[in-house]
Amino acid sequence: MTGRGFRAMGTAWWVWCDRADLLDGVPAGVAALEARLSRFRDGSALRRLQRDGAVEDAVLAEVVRLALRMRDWSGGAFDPAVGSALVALGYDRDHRSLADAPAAPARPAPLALQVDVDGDVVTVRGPGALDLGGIAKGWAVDQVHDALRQQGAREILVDGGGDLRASGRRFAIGVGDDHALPLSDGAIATSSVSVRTWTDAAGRRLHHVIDPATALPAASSVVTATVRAPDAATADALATAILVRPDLLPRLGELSAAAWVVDRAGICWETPSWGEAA
Amino acid sequence: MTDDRRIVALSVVAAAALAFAGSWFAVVDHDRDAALAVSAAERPPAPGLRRAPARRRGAVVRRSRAS
Repeated sequence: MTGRGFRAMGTAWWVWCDRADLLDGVPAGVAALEARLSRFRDGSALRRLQRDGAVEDAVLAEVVRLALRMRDWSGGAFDPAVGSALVALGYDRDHRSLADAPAAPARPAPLALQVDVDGDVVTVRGPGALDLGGIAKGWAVDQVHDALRQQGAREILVDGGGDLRASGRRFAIGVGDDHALPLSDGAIATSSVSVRTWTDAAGRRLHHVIDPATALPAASSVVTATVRAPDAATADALATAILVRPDLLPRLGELSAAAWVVDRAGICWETPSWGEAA
Repeated sequence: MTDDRRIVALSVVAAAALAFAGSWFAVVDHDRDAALAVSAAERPPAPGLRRAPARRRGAVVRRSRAS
């Protein structure tokens, strides 16, 4: 097994597989995906969509289609239309430069962006903006994994900033401070309201996980959610949805998923199938 | 022992018994309140969840984290 580390999508990546010759192309592949999906990159497909109202891009269409599927499953707890809410809260640039964020609105406008996908064409109508931050990284992890597999790798572990996808071998994955889970064929992703936080000009402590129902940072009883699912995109989106709506936890089995969460008291909880090997 | 002394002794014993009983019930109430407070704090975020045991299974290869 040979590993390769690099930075992309604002975080550290690490990719292992049993075919060292396949690793050279991975950083460029992830960079190409980021160039199309980032809302911080001029000229990205997502930025062109916001500017023009419609764009034809197979990658963007696939991610948006998946995001809409997760929105529907979660009853709106996960919603890619939270981009405008993030901007209203001051998260309109790379998180590391949010020191001078303006005061966040007490009552932001409700989400009203209509999003449609037809083939490779994505259209948006109404006020607001898309943000794929809750799913794009997991989806990119899946793309790297699947590409390595298609090229002949058999033992693979892809770590995109803590979103992981594994196959072909049993890997011990750390969760929280003192918890570990074996993962041999599937994905794990974690979301938390304690990262990507900032203080606005009014002194309010804000974070990046938006509750679509209020357009404000989520304020549920769960502060960290780790989800195991068949693929990283699903795990990534579900981890975000659970921070907004913990009542979705009993339904995770519908998507062959399980979760380990930390509540506001610091107590760790798990769904019944969490400890099962995946 | 005269009747007066007997009455005084019984009164002292009765007072001591009452004081003990009062303090015992206070302890019971306190324990009950504390127990209720703990169970409220440990209410799971959703039905069907269980407390996660700490599992240390040796070295981990990578760690899932929010980023």
